[in-house]
Amino acid sequence: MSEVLEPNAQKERISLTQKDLTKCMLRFAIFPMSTINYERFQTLQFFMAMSPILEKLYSTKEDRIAAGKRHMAFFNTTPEWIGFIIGLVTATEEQAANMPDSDEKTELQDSTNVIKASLMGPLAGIGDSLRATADAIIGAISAGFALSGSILGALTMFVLGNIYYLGIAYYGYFYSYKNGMKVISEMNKTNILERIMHSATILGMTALGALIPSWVGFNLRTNIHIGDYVLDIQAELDKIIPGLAPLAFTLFVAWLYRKNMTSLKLVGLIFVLALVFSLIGISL
Amino acid sequence: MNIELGYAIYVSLVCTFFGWLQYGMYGFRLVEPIICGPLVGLFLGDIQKGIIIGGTLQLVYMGIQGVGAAIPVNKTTATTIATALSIIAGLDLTAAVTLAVPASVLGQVGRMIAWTINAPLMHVADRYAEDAEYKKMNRLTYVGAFVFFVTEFIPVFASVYFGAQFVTQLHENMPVWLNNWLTVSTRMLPALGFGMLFSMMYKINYIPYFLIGFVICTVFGGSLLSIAIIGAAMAMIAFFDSAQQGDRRRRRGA
Repeated sequence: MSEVLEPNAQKERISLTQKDLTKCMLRFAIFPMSTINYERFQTLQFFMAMSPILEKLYSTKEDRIAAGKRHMAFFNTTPEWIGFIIGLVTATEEQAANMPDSDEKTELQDSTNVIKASLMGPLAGIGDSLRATADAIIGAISAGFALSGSILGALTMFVLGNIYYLGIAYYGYFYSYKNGMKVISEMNKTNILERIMHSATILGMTALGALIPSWVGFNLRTNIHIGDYVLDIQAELDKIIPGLAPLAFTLFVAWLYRKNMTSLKLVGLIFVLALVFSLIGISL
Repeated sequence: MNIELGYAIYVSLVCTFFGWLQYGMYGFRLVEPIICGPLVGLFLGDIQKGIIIGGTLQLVYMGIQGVGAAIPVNKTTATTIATALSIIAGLDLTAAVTLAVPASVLGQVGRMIAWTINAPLMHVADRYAEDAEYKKMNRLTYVGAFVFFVTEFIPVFASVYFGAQFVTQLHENMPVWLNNWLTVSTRMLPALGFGMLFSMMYKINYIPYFLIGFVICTVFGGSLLSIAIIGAAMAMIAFFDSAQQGDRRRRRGA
């Protein structure tokens, strides 16, 4: 005994238009964090992005209540990768909405939460690391411009940063929507996520090798007088290999971080060390 | 220098807006220090300072980002407050960067409070879902975004209004040792972001690539962009190589 809200929408096959999809994509890409909270993280924003699609697919109040509840289940992942998941969910909901009422239909609808639960963890793990790597490279190149006083730095970050963010959001969404559930089996077969992660780490590590000596200022510029002999520590170190001091210091910080020292404590440590170094005048 | 209340509110609103964007309107990445630095500078009449402070903080906070459910020390609040105060009080770069550290913690606390306040919204949304009131559920987005604005505004206003005078006084009587200290710490701080990044990506297999990047930079003086391209080339080799291996394995299996 369902209350029919839009009687004409019954019986015909309901298919989503490019406009519906774009709307959903923009909603999750621009507002993924507006109601983020400690209880259910991005849940409400996931629902918010889905809601125009759900309204179009389900015209009865009963169906809408069920859909609303379904998509208020826990959700959280790296924002640009929401698209990948929400695309699959959109495709699944569209398929389910066009089925006659049956156990099969309910099962398909419930499977959307399985999709979310099984993908959001792995995608967040990969997404966060990829983002950190991309940001480090884009950020360092942009910062190079900015530190010489050019607005080009901000523009580079804006353009490249958004190509990365919106690019993944857009292609992730439409790719997974078009290919549906076979995306998952394809993903497992080709091991694509692991391979992307592996390649990105290679790029990240290469860049990091260059970033550390370029940007970490840790030079032992001091002369030690031993009788008539003047020992210039930095000049001696440079003879071994330039950039050794910043490298050693950064690896020391990395090691402490691996030993579970928090970033705030590390900031404190750096300030204390800086005080010591500045007082005895060995680093600038 | 006493800052006028009206001006303090204007400055705080500008700073709060850019800090708020991170949650209110996440898309478009305007919250990166390197971008919001000049934007805050634009509104306060000194873009150049914003560019330099933003660029420096981009490096300092590189690699410090939210992983999973943890809220990171906030780089956006750090940038907006540091830029604003240094324009108001005429600070130099090193002092501004140092100022950014307490500001970033302040921004983090504000956000943790917002994350807590927003939790009950979920239950309100659940209740609306019982009646299929999608419009009302969507409207909660504004509530959440508003909470983020308020929790950002309060600490920002406090730092701008009460901080300006304190910072100006400090700056006028800054002893040499303090200035030296801050200069040294500014140069050392990027080690933190890079260190965190390193430990995140670390695996013994990747050390060769790290060494290649290091040596090309220090010994051969290669630019960052050229090294990024070499890195991308090696990444592509690895990517295509693994695809072929997968194909071979599948063919053998078939």
